[in-house]
Amino acid sequence: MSKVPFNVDAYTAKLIGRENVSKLDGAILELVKNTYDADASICFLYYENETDTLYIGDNGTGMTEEIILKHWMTIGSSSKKIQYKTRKGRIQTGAKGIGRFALDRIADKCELLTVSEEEHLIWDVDWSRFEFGQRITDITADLDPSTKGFDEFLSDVINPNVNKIVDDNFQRTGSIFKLTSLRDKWDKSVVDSIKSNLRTLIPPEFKEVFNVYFFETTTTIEEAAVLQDSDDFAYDYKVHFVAESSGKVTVNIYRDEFDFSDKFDEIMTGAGFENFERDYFQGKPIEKVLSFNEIIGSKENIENTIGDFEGTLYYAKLNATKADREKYYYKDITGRPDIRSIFGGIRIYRDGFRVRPYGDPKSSSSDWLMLAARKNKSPAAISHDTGSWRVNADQMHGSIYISRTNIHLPDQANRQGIVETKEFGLLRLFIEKTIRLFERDRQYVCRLLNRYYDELHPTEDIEKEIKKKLQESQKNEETAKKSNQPPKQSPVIDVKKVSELVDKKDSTIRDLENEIQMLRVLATTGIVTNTYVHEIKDVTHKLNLNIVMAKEAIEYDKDMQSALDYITKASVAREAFTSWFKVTIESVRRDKRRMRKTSVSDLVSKLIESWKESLSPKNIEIIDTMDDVEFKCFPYELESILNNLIANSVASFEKKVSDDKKIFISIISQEDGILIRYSDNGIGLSESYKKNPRRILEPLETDKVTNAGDVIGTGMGMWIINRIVSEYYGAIDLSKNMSSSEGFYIDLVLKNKD
Amino acid sequence: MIKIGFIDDDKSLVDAYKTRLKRRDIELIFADDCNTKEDVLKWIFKNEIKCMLVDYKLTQAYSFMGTDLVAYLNSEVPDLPCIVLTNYCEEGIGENLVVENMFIDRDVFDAEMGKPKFEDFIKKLEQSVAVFENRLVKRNEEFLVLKEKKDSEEISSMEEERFIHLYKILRAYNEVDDIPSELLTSSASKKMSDILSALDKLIDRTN
Repeated sequence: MSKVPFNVDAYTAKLIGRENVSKLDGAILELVKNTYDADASICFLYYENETDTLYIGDNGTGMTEEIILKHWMTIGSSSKKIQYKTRKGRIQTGAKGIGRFALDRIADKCELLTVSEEEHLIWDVDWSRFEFGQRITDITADLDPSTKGFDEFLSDVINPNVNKIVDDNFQRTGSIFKLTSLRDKWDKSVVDSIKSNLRTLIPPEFKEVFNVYFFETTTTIEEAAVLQDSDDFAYDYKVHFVAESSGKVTVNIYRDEFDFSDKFDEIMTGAGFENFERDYFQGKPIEKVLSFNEIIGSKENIENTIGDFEGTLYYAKLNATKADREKYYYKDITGRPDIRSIFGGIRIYRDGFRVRPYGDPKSSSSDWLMLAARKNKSPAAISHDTGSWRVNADQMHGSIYISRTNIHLPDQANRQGIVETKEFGLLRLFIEKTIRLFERDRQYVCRLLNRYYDELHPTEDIEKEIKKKLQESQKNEETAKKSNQPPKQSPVIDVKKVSELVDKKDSTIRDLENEIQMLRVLATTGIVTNTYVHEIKDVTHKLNLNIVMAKEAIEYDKDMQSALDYITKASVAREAFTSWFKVTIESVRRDKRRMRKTSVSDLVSKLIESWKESLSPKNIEIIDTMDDVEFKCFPYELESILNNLIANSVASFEKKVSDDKKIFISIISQEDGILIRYSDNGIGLSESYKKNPRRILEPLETDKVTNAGDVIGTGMGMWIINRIVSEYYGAIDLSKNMSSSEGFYIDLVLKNKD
Repeated sequence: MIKIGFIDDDKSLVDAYKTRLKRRDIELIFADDCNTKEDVLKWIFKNEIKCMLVDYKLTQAYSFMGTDLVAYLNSEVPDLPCIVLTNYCEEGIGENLVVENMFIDRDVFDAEMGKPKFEDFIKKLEQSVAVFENRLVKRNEEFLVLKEKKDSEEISSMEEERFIHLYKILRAYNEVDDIPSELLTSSASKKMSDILSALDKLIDRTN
């Protein structure tokens, strides 16, 4: 039997191409990348509306017949797989040899003039001939030597600026595609979208070595330049970092936010800046040379397995209140454009070209570093004395430069981002930690300036003045009353001063509120742990003891069976330990600190389940009835409520002799929220609280005492519950405790927040 | 081998404790058939316990706390070292029923052999027993002095009470011969000698 070669249906080949390049934007970008790979310094695109023709040209190395045959006419082949450095040393950005599919995506007809050191060639393809039922080997394209120069090839072009740019820049070699029978309607929105994509495709810093122009019929060369000079945007802070595979990291932080103008010396000394910092406010970067692990800040030694990479991050706020401008001596930012809407957030470039979708403006990947979540977790103001200020997601943008040589950061097969490898996680962490360096510096500066401002604007004095004038005014009224005369006019207080005072008080209150919110969560863990310290110690002891026993059984007695028995016992203790851990630690898990629609029955069932493991040895039973209800809340807050209540019940059962120990929990759905009905059959509130049970909601009220009368309760649990309930516009009913002889009863109503 | 007594409302750890102490020639004996504090005292005498480990929270099996029991034992047998064993010393100490340095955290039992924590604990037990034994010698000497006084009928009623108390303890630890303690009181021995002299007279008459 004779050997028959495989073949491909031409249409199928085309379809495969379409899978790879499905969008017009993507197709254009692929071709632009190819021009970069050809070592071009200029790439132009020219769309001529009158003839519906698109030209794409570059002054790169051009192509030989061999390259066209091998790499443009053989499906699935790409020179870049093997050799990825160009003569100029650029790392080639395309990897899959899909340029030809891009051509097909854009237009049916393609004509190419390419001039290399060796030859001039014209290549002519009509993609519409790739039809169903045709074998790919039956389709041909014309490839002929040519005597045409670029001038002649572009002789029909309407916009003379296109000819000019070619004349000026295409000295010897290059390639120009002329694409006709375009598949898309190139209206204004398409053109705009492509332009804006090109702008983010190439990092602004690239302008010196590679520039892209987009012409229409009447565009001038200046207008056509995709990377404009105005893109040297204003920023407040710039952070440039270089991470080397050796583990060395250099970070330069530029402060460009503050303008002390003629008060420079005064502020430097007044606010307490060190002498060496003078330069940092005048353009000199703060240089830090650290190890990779120092940046990551891990106890284990984490090495840079990513390889060489670098990046530039910008912090640019879009607005500042008058008060802040005055306090922090911000430079004037009026009219600062919202760069993020054009450039997006923090983008990743591989060898000079965008890796999408990271930092895409107005997309879900815009905040791929999850800076917003980070900010929510630590909402402290910049001036806060102890809280850590975190940057807002919409105030950061910048570029991260990776390369093909970062082999642990591979592209996803569909070219929609980078595979989420361990290294990608590490990269994310690294950037976040680098942002921390900037945040710390900015907070340091702002704290000093804030303190300085307070010194210059002593609100205490204003407060005193107001109090004094108030007393004066009261005195006037009294005298007037006595003498039956109309009172003297009240002393005047400067409104500006009052507003300054109010601002100051407001900001103090805001800081305190932020703090309280966080402390409440942490306090519940503390309260619960405190309540069970005996149990936890007991379990720890059992665990340790059995392990020591097992060790000694082997060491001294060579008795494997006993050792195994002890380990089995240790394992039981370990499970008990884990169950306590679940109850105490679980509620502060990060994802529970996000507001979301929560299935209350699921949440409470899980919580009760984890409690059961620790309560069943104490013969305490939880009986629950639950409506299936969804409620928008922070899950940890619901857990906080129940954890505190259960902790109280357990403490109450300690003093009860009988074995009948039950906790009842009902979740009842209500029109605009939920009702939690909670009770136990413990000893109930102590007499003093029974008369006025609502007193237990006050902070520091407790009746948890030892036999010796020492107070062991924190008195915070019920207060925390009360605070949470009031945040849900809810109510607490404790009245049943007034009439019952034993047991504790509480009804809590929580309402939807919106 | 020295003997240490142990009372706890949770039996699950006893065997492990026993095994560990046995490696150091200490026998741990568990009190498991007592109901009242008096029962515990009887059990101590019966087993010749020379040092006692008492769990703090006994409430799962007894109607009293460990510290109550130690207070009682201290008043009955002041020489007997009683150590309170607990997971959480602060609470028991706060009651002020037992001197602070007689509280020991249970985690000494899970410390590794050779480590100071464990070795110090063993030393403490050994020394406690040595103290008790030395005191017994002293008490025995005191007992013999009182006995002599008693035989010569020079004993006061206070001394006599002390004499009986010492006898009970020394008897429990096999330091003296077994005589019913009622017979030790002066009135009892007086009665006895009266009976004997009456008996003598009766015999004389019949002769």
